[in-house]
Amino acid sequence: MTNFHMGDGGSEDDASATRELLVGARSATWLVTGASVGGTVARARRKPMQDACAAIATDAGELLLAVADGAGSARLGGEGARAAVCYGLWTLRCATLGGSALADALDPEVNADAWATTAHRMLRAVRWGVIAEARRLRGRRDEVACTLTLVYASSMGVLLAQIGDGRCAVQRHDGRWEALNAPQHGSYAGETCFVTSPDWRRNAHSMLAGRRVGDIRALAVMTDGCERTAYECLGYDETSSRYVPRNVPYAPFLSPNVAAVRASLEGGAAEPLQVAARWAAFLRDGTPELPALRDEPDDKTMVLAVRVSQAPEG
Amino acid sequence: MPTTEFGGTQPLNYEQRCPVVLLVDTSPSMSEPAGESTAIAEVNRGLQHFARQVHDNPITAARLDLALVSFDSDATVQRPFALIGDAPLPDLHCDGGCTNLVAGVERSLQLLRERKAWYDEVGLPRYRGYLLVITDGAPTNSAEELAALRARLHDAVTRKHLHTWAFATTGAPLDALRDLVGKECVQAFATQDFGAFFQWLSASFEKITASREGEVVRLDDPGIFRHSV
Repeated sequence: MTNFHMGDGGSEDDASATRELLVGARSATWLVTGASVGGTVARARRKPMQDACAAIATDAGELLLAVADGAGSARLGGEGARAAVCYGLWTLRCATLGGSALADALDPEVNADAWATTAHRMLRAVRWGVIAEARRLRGRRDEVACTLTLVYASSMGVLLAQIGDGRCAVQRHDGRWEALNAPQHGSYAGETCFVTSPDWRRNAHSMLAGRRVGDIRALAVMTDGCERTAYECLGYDETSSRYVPRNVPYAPFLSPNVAAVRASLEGGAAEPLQVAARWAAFLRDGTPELPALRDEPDDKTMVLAVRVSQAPEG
Repeated sequence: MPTTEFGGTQPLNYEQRCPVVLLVDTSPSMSEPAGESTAIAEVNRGLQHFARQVHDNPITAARLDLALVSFDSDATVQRPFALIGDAPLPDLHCDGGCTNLVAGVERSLQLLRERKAWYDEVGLPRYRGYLLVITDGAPTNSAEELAALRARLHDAVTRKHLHTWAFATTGAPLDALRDLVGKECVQAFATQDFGAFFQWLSASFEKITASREGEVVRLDDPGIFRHSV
């Protein structure tokens, strides 16, 4: 079951400038709500939104997610991000259809390095697709620069393949959240790696391959435009009088929204894309309690996926 | 705002910092009449506008770490590094003397070094530093002093330690500035356009502080740079 929808979720004043992407899915196993919306910079300047997201919830109980963030300075960054999520999902889907590579990678007996090798091969395939898109648009490869986070989840666990600074958090069955990855940052603020960057292609250490064996209750995948709202990223340690980087999913934001997705979608209460449209408006405008969401200059993408309470084994 | 089932609260996150030194010429020529105003009066008006614009953008206000240095015969730190809060920026005055650009730049580089060392000490992520020079005349330093400064600036820029931009009022001899920081990093404008210049400057730093390191930021007109952050 594929649910990948590009919609005009923007408010009346900016819909023409920043087309938003909505993702909604409901299967016997997964409930999914997600959106990509423009940040304050794109909306104020009526520039195209450059994030993208897509999801597939299969009848076999698998969840495939892709989230990408086009480089703000790249002329075709949005096109690159959309190509990356399409090729990313296609690559994931091929892996699920073509054998048991992903399920095998979640076997606790299998070394995690095997998944890193598979993830690197998949990301290289996506890279060629994105570069082909640049050629089709008569652009250079750096003009389609984007980050990409790919996630595969089933009752056996979660796999992640990533280039750049996206984030993925999983909620355990005890309700606690844990980060599945650490975003890739450079020595200066905001510095990151892109799908089209040459450095990770030969050096697999420049990409991230994450694995978490075991069933989960929910997960959240996002671009860096949402991290100040959904993560503790930079805190202050009174003892050492130092600012310290943190990578802690923020439960007071994530848990109520995961619960809202469950309440809205479980039992067929609402149409997935209608819920996604409300999620997009929420990501775009924030609330008085969430000024970081409202004021975020960068484009914002977050996809929430919730395991159905009585999900069949998948 | 439409009602929504979504909500929650956000964590306390501290922000990365973008250190900027505004180095302003306060030599006597800056107080000479230009139309109905003077360059220094326009600078002071523009600085307050710049501070308001930055203050009104929550992200830029949380990230832009601004120091203000003036120079004539010597360099004076008018405002040490700090975020732009509610307090206005200090007014600058022309007290006489010559145009000792080298002293101003050296003091600014020292401030930037100290600030970066502090960031590292306390663990704050940072952008590369920015040194912005505003002047209306040629430096009165010797050719040897300027050559030594040029080598130091070139080295700092090459090693990605900072960006240096220079802005000069129309009629100012630009050759020395171009020689010092590179011709692509020098912009001239009319004295009466200081307001537009500071508007452009605040808009530029809204973009820069919202960008990633390594990105090419297209600054608005009268933008002069296709700027790599």
